[in-house]
Amino acid sequence: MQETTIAPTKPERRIPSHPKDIVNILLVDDQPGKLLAHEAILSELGQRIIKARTGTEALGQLLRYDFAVILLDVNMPDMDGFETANLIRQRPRFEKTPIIFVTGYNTTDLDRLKAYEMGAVDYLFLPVVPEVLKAKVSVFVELARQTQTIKTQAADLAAHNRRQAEQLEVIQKLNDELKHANSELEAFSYTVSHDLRAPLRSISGFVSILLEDYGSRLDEEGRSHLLALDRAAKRMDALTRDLLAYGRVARESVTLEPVPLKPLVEAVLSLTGAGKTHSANIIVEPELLDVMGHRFLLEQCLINLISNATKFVRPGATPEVRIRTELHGDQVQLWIEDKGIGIDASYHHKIFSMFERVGDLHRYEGTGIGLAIVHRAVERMGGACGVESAPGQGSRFWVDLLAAPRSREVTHPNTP
Amino acid sequence: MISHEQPIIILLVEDSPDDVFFFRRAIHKSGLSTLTHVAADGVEAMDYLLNKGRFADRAAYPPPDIMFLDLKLPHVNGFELLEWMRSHAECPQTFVAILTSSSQPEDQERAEALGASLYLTKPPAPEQLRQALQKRSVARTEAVGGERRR
Repeated sequence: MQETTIAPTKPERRIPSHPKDIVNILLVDDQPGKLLAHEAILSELGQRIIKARTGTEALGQLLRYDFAVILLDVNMPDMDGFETANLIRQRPRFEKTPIIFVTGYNTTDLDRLKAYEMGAVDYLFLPVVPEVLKAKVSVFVELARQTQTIKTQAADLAAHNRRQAEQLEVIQKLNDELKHANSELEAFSYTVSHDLRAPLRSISGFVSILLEDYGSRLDEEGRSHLLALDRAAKRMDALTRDLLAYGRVARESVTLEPVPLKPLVEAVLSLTGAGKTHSANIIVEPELLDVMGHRFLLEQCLINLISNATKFVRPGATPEVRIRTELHGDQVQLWIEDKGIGIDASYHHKIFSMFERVGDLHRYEGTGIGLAIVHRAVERMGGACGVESAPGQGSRFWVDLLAAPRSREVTHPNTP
Repeated sequence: MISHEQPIIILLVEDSPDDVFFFRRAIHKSGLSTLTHVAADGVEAMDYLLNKGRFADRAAYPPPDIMFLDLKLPHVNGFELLEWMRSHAECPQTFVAILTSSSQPEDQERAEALGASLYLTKPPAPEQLRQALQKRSVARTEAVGGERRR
């Protein structure tokens, strides 16, 4: 990117094609014939040539322009070349402007030239040899152009640095805002989990007290209304709980580490009670492969996939779930397979989105957030998930994750 | 279960009247002989423990056998109260059971690190409260030469 910026002023280029490449040459001579002759020779260099007939005129031009080189005739009436040079040098801006004196074979001039101790000074003897004049002047032209290029590059670089600093500042600001938003979200989550759920707990609590203490005095319809009230409160509680879990899955900082799936699956089964109750028949393969994952995110995947697998069965049927893993290259494929009601193919892409429910709301309890949590959690661990299913055929949910180093060795049982 | 001639003194630190009601009902259903005092926030709990303010009468508000502590409280929350209890020697040694709506593992870890012995989530079931009181008795028996006579 930087290269393209400086390309138009590349110093290798000999023939100037860009106005920025053209530099100024000042010719100072009292004789118009000599001026014209020098101009003719130097015009081949393709630079801008400015002429002055006297030292005073030369100083005037110097106020207007910067010059790559000054060709200064020594022998001029009023103010000669040396006096002009002295005046030029007195200005800091022209301290280093190269001067080429043009002089005849005059010993006094030569002595003074030698005594003239200033940088970037050269001299030419009259009559001027065109090739020599051209060669000497072009050296200074090239020098000026290179200086100009370096200046441009330095300016570009400074601008680039400035832009970068500005961008850094913007990023820093965004980062700060993000941090602030995150901590606000954290506080919000805490409030939701405590304050918002407290009234729901009160509703459920008073409903059970009503049923317990006054249930016998209510008729069937009255009790059914109370149960409906309780279901609504519990559903809202489940919704807030799942939204909080989704929020945490989305913003948890994720570092992948080897996680053995087997103990985690067993922990989730005992935590959710899905494994030990007679209400579901869950078979976990004796060996499950280890994956590269994040414990909390994996736990969320398992809780929701297992709950999903045991939930969607025909009324009265016992849920049957199988949990197993396969190794494909460096990927572990975790399968959670059920023999439930299955999902029509046209819904497969939708079920992992928030609030998409395929099951009948009244028959199957759920928030519609569970699979969205799974999808987000898997995404955050750099994996993929999906489903193979058809109505009446059960559902086979899969999660692809990077295998832990240990799991990749299973094909070589002798490796320590 | 160790039988008590006198009721077990409970200090419930809870700001929600509904939750106080549920607690009283559950403790009543547990069938244990208890006397429950309520502090509505952490500051009141401090007053109770030091017999200050409206809890100045030490005979009426004796040091509790067990404290049930909500974490989210106005003014001084549950964590802050636990920290305060640890740093104040004049505060009577109290068996603390957290009773909260938060099931976040980090809250449990933090409460236990600050000296809480039990962690219960709301709403409390009579059986859970019975178990909590039993654990308190065991802990007290194990502490040889217990600091107080009940």
